[in-house]
This record gives sequence, C-alpha cells and structure tokens, in this order.
Amino acid sequence: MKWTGDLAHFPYPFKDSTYRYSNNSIPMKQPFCIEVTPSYKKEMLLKRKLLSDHPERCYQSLPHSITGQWEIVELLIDHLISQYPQHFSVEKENNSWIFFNKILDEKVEFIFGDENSLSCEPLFFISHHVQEDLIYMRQRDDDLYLDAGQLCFPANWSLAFNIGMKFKNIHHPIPGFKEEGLDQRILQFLMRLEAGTPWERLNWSLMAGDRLDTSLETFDQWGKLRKHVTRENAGELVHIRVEVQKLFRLPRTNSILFSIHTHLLSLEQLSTNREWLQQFYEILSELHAHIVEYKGISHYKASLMHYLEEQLERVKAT
Amino acid sequence: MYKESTLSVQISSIVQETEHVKRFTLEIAKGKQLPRFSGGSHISTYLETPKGLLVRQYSLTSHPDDCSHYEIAVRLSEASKGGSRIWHQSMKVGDHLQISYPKNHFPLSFKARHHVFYAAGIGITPFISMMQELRDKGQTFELHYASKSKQYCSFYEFITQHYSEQSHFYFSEDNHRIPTLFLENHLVGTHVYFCGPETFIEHFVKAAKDLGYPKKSVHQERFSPPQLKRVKPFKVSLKSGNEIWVDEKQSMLDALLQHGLNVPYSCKVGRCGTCELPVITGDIDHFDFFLSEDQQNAQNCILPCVSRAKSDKLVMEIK
Amino acid sequence: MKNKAVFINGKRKYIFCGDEQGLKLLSNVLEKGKEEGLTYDRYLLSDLKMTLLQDFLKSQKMGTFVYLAIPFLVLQQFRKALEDIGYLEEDVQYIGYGERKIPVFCCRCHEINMSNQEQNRLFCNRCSLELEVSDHYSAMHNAFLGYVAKL
Ligand code: HEM
Ligand code: FES
Ligand SMILES: [Zn+2]
Repeated sequence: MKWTGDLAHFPYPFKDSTYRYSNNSIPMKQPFCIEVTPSYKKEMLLKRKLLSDHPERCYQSLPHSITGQWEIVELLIDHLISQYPQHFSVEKENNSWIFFNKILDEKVEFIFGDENSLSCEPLFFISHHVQEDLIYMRQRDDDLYLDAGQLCFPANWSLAFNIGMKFKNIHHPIPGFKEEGLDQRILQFLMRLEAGTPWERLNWSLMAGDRLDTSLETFDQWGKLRKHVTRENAGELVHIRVEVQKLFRLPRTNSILFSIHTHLLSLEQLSTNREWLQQFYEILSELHAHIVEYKGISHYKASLMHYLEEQLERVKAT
Repeated sequence: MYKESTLSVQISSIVQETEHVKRFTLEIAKGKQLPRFSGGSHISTYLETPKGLLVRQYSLTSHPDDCSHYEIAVRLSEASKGGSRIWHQSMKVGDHLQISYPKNHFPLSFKARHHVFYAAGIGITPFISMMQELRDKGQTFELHYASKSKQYCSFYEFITQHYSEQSHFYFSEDNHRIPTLFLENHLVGTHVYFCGPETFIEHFVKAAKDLGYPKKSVHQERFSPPQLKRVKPFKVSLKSGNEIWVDEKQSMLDALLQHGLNVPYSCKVGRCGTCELPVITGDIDHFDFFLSEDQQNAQNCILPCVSRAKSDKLVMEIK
Repeated sequence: MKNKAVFINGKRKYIFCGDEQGLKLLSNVLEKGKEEGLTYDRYLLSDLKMTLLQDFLKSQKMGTFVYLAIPFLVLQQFRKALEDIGYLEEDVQYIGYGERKIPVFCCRCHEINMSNQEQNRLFCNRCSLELEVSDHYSAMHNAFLGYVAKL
C-alpha cells in the first residue's frame, strides 16, 4: 500500500527551531478524543486485519480493566455521535444500545455493562470503529499502570511487553527522561488530570518507509529500510510520523484514556512548505545525538541532511 | 478568574437529614447525562453570592453509576465563611448552579486486601460511595463511625439498612469513642481510611504511624485546609519588582489573586498541584499533600493555596 | 532486591525468614533486633515451600516488617506470593543470593529466554532471532526486553 499523506490536515509538530523533551501537553480546545479523516476506510481495513491476524501484538488487557473498557466505549461513542452525527449514531433504551457506523454500514447491538452481550471485550469492539490506538492507564494507588490497550500502529514499541507496566517504567528507554526528572513531573501532571479538562500533545519521529504498523515485533523487517536511504530517495522514502496524543480522565474508574492518532507525511511533501522545510532542517541540524539515536535516525542522518540541503537550495533558487 | 469546565445542574430535592445536615439532589437537564464516578469522589460547587463566587467541595453520596442525578450532604458549620450557610439558608428546589466534574482525591486502594473506614461526623460522606463500590466488586470492608448521637448521625438509617454487618457506631452521648487500639488488630493487607475533623484524622494517622503502618496503607480526606500551626505574615516579591503582602488571615494564593495575578488553581487544599509556582529564594513552609518529600525539600516550588513562607520574603519567578 | 539487609526502624514486629544460608545473611539485622529488644519471629524455610509460610505471613498484623533471604532463582515467586497477601514493597526486604538468571523477553515472538548474567546477546529459543539484552524491565513478565541485535 502506498501512503499518500494529507498535507492540508497534517499536524505539523514544531513551534521553535530547536527540539527538547518536555511536557508539551496543552489543554484541548475541542474536547474530542477521536478524529475521522479522509483515510478512515482504508485505515479501518488495515487495523481490522492486524487485529484479527495478530491479536496478541495488537491487543492486551488485564481482567480488572473491564469496567474501564466500558467507560471508554461510552466516551468514544458519545464523541463519535456528537462530532460526526452524519456518520455515527446510537439508540439507547436503558442499557440496551444499538450502535450504527454508517461509513462502514454496520450495526452493533449490545447491553451496556454486560460483557456477554458482545462477542469480544468492550475495548476490542470499539477499536474496530476508530482510527486511534487506545491505551487504558489505570490509576492504582499512587501510580498509573497500562492495564489494557489496543495498539496497531506503534512507533516501535511492544504492547505485549508493556502490559501491566507503570508509567515511569514505560518511559525508561527514553534517553535523559529520568535524569532530568521529567518522568516524575509528567506522572504528577497525569495524576492531577481532571475529568472535563482533557489535554493533548504531539509526538514526532522519522521512519524509512511508509508503514503505519511499525511494531517492535516486526522491526527486523521494516527497520532494514533505514539502510537503504540515499540522498536521492530520501524525499520519497523517509516519512515524518506524528502522533496526536490525547489524555482523558475517566471518572468511573479514576483512570486515564490515552489515544494516539498517527499521521505520516513524506519529506517530499513536507518540503513543499518552505517554512516547514527550513525549520525542520534547523531542528535536525541541532538535535541532540541521544535523541537522534533514540528516534532511529542515526543510520541515515547524513543522507537526509544532504537531501534537505538540496531542497533548500532549490527553494532559494526559485 | 480561572475557572475549570463545569456542568449545569438544578436542585431537585432537599432532605433534612439531621438537625445540621441537609441532603441535596442535583439533576442535569433532560436528555443529558452526568458522568459516572469512582468511590470517594467529590465535586466542587459554585455558588453565586453578592460577594462573588464561592467554591466548596462535597463528596458525592449517590450511586457511582447513576447518571441521572448526584447527591451531596452539607453540614451547616458554625465557623462557616458562607458556603454551608448559603446551602442551608438560600438554596431552594429548582435553583440552578454550576458544579465541577467528579474528582477523586480519596480513591480506594487497588492493592488492599481489606478496607477499614474510620469516620467522624460529616466525615462519613466519602465512605458512602466507597462502600457501594466495594460491595459491587465483592470486596471486604468495615466501617467505624463516630457521631454525637443517633439523632445527629447522618445516613444512620441508610447504613444500618444496607451495611449492617460491616458497620459499627460510636455515640459520644453514650460515652462511646472509637479506640485507636483497633488499628492494632488489622491483618496485613488492610488499608485504613480516615475522614472527619482535623484532630480526629491526626490522632489516627499518628497511631497508625507508631504501629509501623506503611504510609501507603493510610489514607485521609480533608475538606478544610490543614490547620496551620505557625501562621505569620510575609512578603512575596515578583519578577516585575512588585511586592505583595500576605497577612496571617489569608492564603498566599488569595493574596496573589486579589492583586490580579492569573494563578490557576483548583482544590485550594493542597491536593491537586494545579497552583504550583516556582520560587527563587526564601524558606518555604510546605503544607500540601501533593509534592513528594524530595520536591518539598528542594525548596524551589510552592503550592500557594496552603503553603507559606518561613522566611520574611519569597522571591518568585512570576511576573 | 538487595544483597545486604538494612535495618528499618519503627515497626511493631519483625519477621526474619530464610533458608539456612539466607538466615545467615540476615544475622546482622537479627542481632540488631535482639539488641533493641524488639518483637520478632525467626522463620526457617527449610524446604523452600511456600504454603506454610504463606499461612504464617497471612496471620500477621499491620505494622509487621519482613526480611526474606532466599536464592535468587526462587525469589520472584515468593515476592509474588507476598504481594498477593497484601504486603507492600515498603513492608519487605528481599535478599537474594546464589546463581542468577536473567529472563529476556523476545521482541519478535514474546518468548522468555533465560540468559546468564554476563551475556548481553543471545539467540531466541523459539524464533532464533539474535537479541540484545536491554535494561528495560517488566515486573509483570519479570523479564528484560531483548531488542533486535542487528538489522
Ligand atoms: C499516559 C499515557 C502514556 C503512555 C501509555 C505513553 C507511552 C509511551 C511509550 C510506550 C513510549 C515509547 C517508549 C519506548 O521506546 O519503549 C513513549 C515515548 C515517549 N513519551 Fe509517552 N506515554 C504516555 C504519556 C506521555 C506524556 C503525557 C508525555 C508528555 C510529555 C510523554 C512523553 C513521551 C516522550 C517524549 C517519548 C519519547 C518519544 C520519542 O522521542 O519519539 N508520554 N510513551
Ligand atoms: S489549588 Fe490544588 S494544590 Fe493548590
Ligand atoms: Zn523469539
């Protein structure tokens, strides 16, 4: 499948011409957890195939997460129908719900809160209707634990490994995170997250290739492309990957829903915007070596810089 | 002024629970739903008064899964600065008001194998929804509830009707008090929860500590800011060069707000961390329940809703 | 997981528990407890069987502190049992001794492989991928993540 990014709707992630790790979360202007983009159908097809072919890789849950999963179903359906009433609707009679997905022409009947009324777990069910990956962070005593999740489009991490893990442990592989005390600050920030006031942040990385499903489990396959980047093909082959991450407090289980919507754009497309090109070049030139390494850019950074310089020359010439 | 997102509700019934306590039922507009909540949750209520907005926190005593209405119980307090007085004297069925989304600063422990609740007076309120949640999950708990007498005991009937096996009452009129000795008998895996007047909480927290209870097994809920033992006035000096005087009767947060500084805040009792501000120099007396010990010792940030200066002056990083 | 027991003050009761070798490792804290005239129990875990110990630990009251010294190879299963009873991290010191194996989670097939302490590369038993052992640890799997060693 060849990926064509949507330039007009691309969530360009940079504000300054330098990049550091920080708590870059901001309160959401529109408190909706999901976004339906023009590639909805295509992505749902891919997502559903991954969920059925690789359930262990894409879906994990602990037994005590079920109440929280229903809470996520309620929140997502509520957001789908209020934001996209032309595409989604629900009929409720007491606890009997009928959910309609008009884009895919589907109808699902179930009894809210009754696990036996669905053929799968509630989070698994609702995952089939949204482009976002969905992570359920349960507050247990003084910490947050990854107690359930549906993850089809990870940026090189493993849900199967991370299931049941605490927030700080999850972020252990990130260089400098602990040393700078960022993990503690962000955890405290999340612990004080309140219902009714959701937050969002953008995360970015680069990849060679255009797969959405860059799981750690398949890294030995897709990672190889990193070695094939040249200054000639970088524009086509290298993609910037931006995750729109949203954080909602779920008041019933006092937990947090972390949703991730992944967008891809080739550097060729990114370069069509002069300011982006210039800023992105500056950021990469200045990016700390440990972040370059962590984001997996080291292999091809030189070719990439050559490519961007060429583009800048070209732009200046016109 | 900073204000969080709120829900609009209407008072649909008022019940005189005891001589000093009224229960209020709050309903959301037809067709809409209130959020579900977890055991131990509370809401902030916003009361419009001629002097401005009064924000007060009350535990939710309705069923956590009931999305049609919330219930709170308000005790008329003699020392009331207006909150409970307005609730008791001015609020009528049909009145509209704004409330916050449910928040929980007093959640049930996940690790606990058994839960023991110690309540005094109106401190019973958070335990009502906590008991409901534990019953739904099939977990074990007990309640020890101190009150002046049966007549003054809020939720007495409700509790005896629903939780008679788990509950024990202690009426001071009959000379019954809850002995802290009880803490000696709880098996490993027990978590204890205290809610009531400051002295009650302190007494039990100390007894648990003396026995060697780990901090994480001891939970406490306060609705009033902790009582300050050494309150003195001090100065706050800002980046702009301006200085603000904080006298002994007001919090530093209130002083900053009065001077038009846009400091965000939420709980005002040192629990949520929203009001955190960086400090450049000055000795800080921390009274919050949010910052870790290390963060408090670092002496470089303050939660001004409860914490104050030990020195005469704090130099702040704010404009 | 420590190699040496450290004395913790202010508990109403102490339990010093271990196999023979383990109890030796606890002698310093046990002596200290005796000196201070504290309430304590010494529990010899002669056959490393959990059931009896479990009943004993379950019947303890809040404020009890446990020192548990046993071979590294069985330590994790005891830790799990104690947590299930309701002992918090703060209530217990685990002292391990002897041989250590490092469990390594294969990033490709999720198999947990046992590696020696010195090894930082190994081949997965199940899918044969060459793994590089990291310090990314999962308490739930009790394993370290093994990443793809070379592309
Ligand atoms: C609560 C839900 C969250 C979950 C489940 C989560 C999970 C993750 C995971 C799995 C990774 C990859 C780690 C690896 O390499 O194995 C990651 C990376 C990261 N996370 Fe989070 N995270 C959450 C919230 C946050 C928040 C609120 C921030 C705020 C600043 C944050 C900042 C980061 C950063 C900076 C990285 C490194 C990304 C990169 O350089 O590409 N995370 N997160
Ligand atoms: S307002 Fe919540 S800690 Fe100050
Ligand atoms: Zn393998």
